[in-house]
Order: sequence, then C-alpha cells, then structure tokens
Amino acid sequence: MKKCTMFVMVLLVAAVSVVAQGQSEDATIRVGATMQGMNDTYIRIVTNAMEERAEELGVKLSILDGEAKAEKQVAQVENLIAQDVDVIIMNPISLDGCAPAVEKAVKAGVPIFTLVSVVKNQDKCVTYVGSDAPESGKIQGEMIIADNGTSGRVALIQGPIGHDAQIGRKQGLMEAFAGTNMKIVVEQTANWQRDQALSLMENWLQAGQEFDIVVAQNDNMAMGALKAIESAGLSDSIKVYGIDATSDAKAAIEAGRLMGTVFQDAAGQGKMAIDVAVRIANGESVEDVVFIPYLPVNKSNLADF
Amino acid sequence: MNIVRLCERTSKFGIYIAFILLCVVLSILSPYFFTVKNIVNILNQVSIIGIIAVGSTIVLISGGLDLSPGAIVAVAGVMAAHFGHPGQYPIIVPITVAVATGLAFGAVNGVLTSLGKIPPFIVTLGTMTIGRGLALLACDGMQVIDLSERYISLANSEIFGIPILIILFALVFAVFQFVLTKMRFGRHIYAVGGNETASHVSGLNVNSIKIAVYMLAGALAGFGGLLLSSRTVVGSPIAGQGYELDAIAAAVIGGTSTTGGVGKLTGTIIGALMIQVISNGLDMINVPSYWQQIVKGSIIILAVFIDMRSRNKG
Repeated sequence: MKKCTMFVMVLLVAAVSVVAQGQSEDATIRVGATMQGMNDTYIRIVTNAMEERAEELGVKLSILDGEAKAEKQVAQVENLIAQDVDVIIMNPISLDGCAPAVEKAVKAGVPIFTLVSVVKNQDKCVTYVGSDAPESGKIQGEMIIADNGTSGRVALIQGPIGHDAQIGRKQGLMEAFAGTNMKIVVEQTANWQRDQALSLMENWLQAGQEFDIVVAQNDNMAMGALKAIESAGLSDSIKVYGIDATSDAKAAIEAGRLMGTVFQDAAGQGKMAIDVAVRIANGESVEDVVFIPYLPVNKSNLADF
Repeated sequence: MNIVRLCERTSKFGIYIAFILLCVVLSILSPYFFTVKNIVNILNQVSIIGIIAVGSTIVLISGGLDLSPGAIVAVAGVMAAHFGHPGQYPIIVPITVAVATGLAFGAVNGVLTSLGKIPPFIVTLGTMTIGRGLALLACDGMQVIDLSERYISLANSEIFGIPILIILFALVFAVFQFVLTKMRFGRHIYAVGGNETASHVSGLNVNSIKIAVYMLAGALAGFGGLLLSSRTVVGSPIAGQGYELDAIAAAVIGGTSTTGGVGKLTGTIIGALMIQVISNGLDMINVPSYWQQIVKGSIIILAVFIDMRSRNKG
C-alpha cells in the first residue's frame, strides 16, 4: 500500500515537471518576485498593481510571500533561479539578510532588482524601484513645520526598531527638524500596530507626558494614537500625523481628525516594477534608481488622492 | 536577598508578592503609576488578553495547549467587522459571527486532538497558521473599516463610569471561576488534565470534555477578536499577533501547569496583569525600546523564580 502511494506520487511529480517544462518553451517573459510579507496592507496594494500590470502586458508573473523572513526570501530567490525566470524582483525584508540572494542571482546570471526596500549590496542589483525612505519622514516633518511653526513638543511613535523604514523615516524627520525648536520629548515603538499604538498613547497620557504633536511612522499607528487622544478629550490640543495615506487615514483627514499623512504610491511602485522588469528582459538599459515620489496629503489637497 | 527570603516564607503567595513588589517599584519610579486613572487604564488594557487567557488556562488545565487564539482573534475580528458596517445588521449578528468563528476553530482543535489523537501543539500550530491565512483571505489582505457606532461602542463605552471591557472581563472571569470551582464540569476538566487514563476508567467522557474545553477557549478568543476590532475601530487581518503566547504566559506565570491538572484563574489574572503592568510601567517611565524587551523578559523569569522558590520551601 505504501509503495503504491509512493509510486503514484512519483508519477504525479514527473507529470507536473513535464507540464512545467512545456510551459517554459514559449517566448513570454517570466518574472518571479519575492515580497517581504503579504499580510501587510501596503505590500498587498503593490502586488495587486503588479499582477494587474503583468496581466496587461502578458507577462507571466509569480509572486512569493517571504513571510517577513530574510532566509525564506533567499531560498525563494534560489527557487526562482532554478525555475529559470527571466527577471527576479525582490522586495527585501532585511538590508543585510537578503543580500546573499542578490549574490546568488548575479552568480546564476539572472538579473535581479529591488522594490520598495533595498539591500546592502544594492550596487549588484540592476536597479531599485521605489521611494527613498528618509524622504517620507522629511516630507512629514516639513508638513508639521508648515502647520505648527518651528517649535513644538513631539511624541514619536516608530515602527519596529531596526527596520529600514523606521530608521529612514526618523532620519528624514530629524533632517526636517534640524535647526528648529521641534523637540522629540518622548519616543517608543508600536511595531506598525494599531492596538500597540493605542495602548502606548493611553500610557503616555496617563503618565502626564506633555506634547503638542504626535508623529507616527505609519497611518495604522497614527489612527491608534488618535483614538486614545480622542478618548482622553485632548484632540483640540494634540495634532496627529501619519504616513501611507491609507483609506481610513484619508477619511480621518476629511473629518479633520488627522492633520496630515504622506502618500507613497504603492500601486505606482508595483506597476513600475513590472514595466522595469520587461525593459530588463528585453535587454534595454535601466537607470540605477527609479524613484516614485512621495507627496504630502492634508485637507487642502485630499481630493487628489 | 532579604526580599527573596521573605517571599520564601510566604508559601504559595509568591507570585502575588512578586506582583506587589513590581507595583511598588513602579510607583516609586513614576508618580502617575499608582493612580486610580492608571489602574483603570491598566485593567482596560488587560481585559482582552485576559479574556483570551481564561480560555488558554482551562485548555492547559485539561492537559492541552492552544496556539490558535491569536489567529482566531484576527479571523473573528475581520469576519465580525464585515457584518459591522453602519445600518446593515443588528449588533447581535457580528457578535454571533465572532463567537461562532471561535467555536468552529475550537471544535476543530478539540476533535483533532481528542478523537484524532494528534498532539495539541501540532493541531493548534496548524489551525493557527490556517487561521492567519483565512484572516487575510476573508478581507483580501485589507483592513475592514467603516464600523457602526454601536459596534465601536462594544469595547469603548462605560457603565457607571467603568469601562465596559473591564466589566466584560470580570463577567467572563466570574462565570469561568464558578464553572471551574463549583460545577462538576469544572472538576472533570482538572481530572482529565491530571490523569486522563484514570478519568476514562472512572467513566468520564474524556473526548467530549476536551472538545468542550477547546470550544470554550475558541469562543473566548473569538469574543476577544470582536472586542479588539471594536477597540481599534478596524477589523485587521494581522490583529492579535503573539496573543497566544501572552495568554499562555499569563496562565503559566500565574501557576498553571503546562502538563495539566493544575491551575487557577486567579493566578492567570495576576499573570496577565503582571505582563500588562510591566509594559504600562515601562512606557510610563519611558524606558527605551531595546531595554523594554530585556527588562520584560527578566521580570517574568524573576517573578516565576520567586514563585517557585516560595512553593518549594513552603
């Protein structure tokens, strides 16, 4: 019985590989992508746009979920190399941890480029499609100074400490605040999570921490903090800013609850990634970085987003 | 070292003493810690994880283990939120959906562990992973927003000035405390966890008791998911990340045995409060993020150490 099952399985594997071989014969461009984590709303918007664009251009695209693990992404790139794809797109979870994947692709002669986030050995990648993390923090900071003048007490709610976007966004924010009297009086991580930002803000307010401005490194945390501030009846004296321009954050801006956010064009990044992949597959040259700009969003320009 | 020796003398109250010590230290470090407002704040923050931890405790007492509550929180929250948009369904619909989702997960956990005889770690690791996937599938990876006022009030209103979450937690605790200590079913849970074979020989229907326990834990996690989605005003597929471990930690810090047959809900409450107080306190005295995790882990180990020393000597 067991032997019989084994035999059937071997047959199945053989059949599948024959079918797979047959598919790779034709001339369509085959692109493989590994994403840092598909349970993230932002990444979902990117991948949806990638799938849509691939469909339009007749590109055969397979998107893999890296589940927020660098070693998983490296293994996925190995698998994509083994499948002999034309171009590999990597949206790395880790600056250092995903670098070996680039080495492997280069060694195998498969062009690889990064999307949304970067790796340490970026020079070995064909290009980078995405935005510049510090820029979003800078735009957020400039928007805050435009609204509030050059002095204020700021509470900063950050992403997971050590995450590239956390480091970059803080760096950009500090750049914008440089030379002003904007002071970060308290800072902590809420790991991009709404419930953690909510509890954190409750605890700060309870502790009598005083600040005028809350800077959250994403909208999810901004919305959590906003909820705590409104529950404490302090919405008149504390202004909240986020990044991402999620749909509920935009609704909150419309209602005058959230002061501003920064739009990162997720769909634009996904679409551009496929366009760039096609250009690479066709042997065209591509610039070292393909920037998709950030834009500040507040009540005055909300209608454009 | 006097503190440890003092604790050793007060047998079986070790964890309570560790908890009180922690509160005293935090009160000294932050003038805002030991205030009525902050105590209410802490109780409010602990309620959802506390409700889930009640379920984890009874599963542990019955000799099982449940890794799925965090995922159930996400699935139930997303599912309930789908039925929680303004002007569509009466509030009882999302509540039922959330609890039923949890019950269904619990039934699968219970049946596979008892009748299927698959180790609970494997079964619930599986249902946890499935649940995380289902949560994403149920909303296509996007948060479910636009919830009705009534839905939001589920976790955000007050009754006689007391936040409703605290009242719900107290009710859940009271009901399950009664079941565990006063009802035959409660004693059967301890019996099954203490010695399964003996329980079977003495005529207990071990399988149905186990299934019931997992279903109750699932229902509590589902209810917790509903409350979390109401508290955060969004049905999020990534909600409840790590809640299963916090819930198990609360139970185990509170003296529940990981091998079954031993445990008290009062201990679980102290365990849950301990975890919450640590993070509340560290936020208040503004300990840097890197240090928070180190301090948190150390305090948990120290508390259980004091507890175990006091038990052994006492």
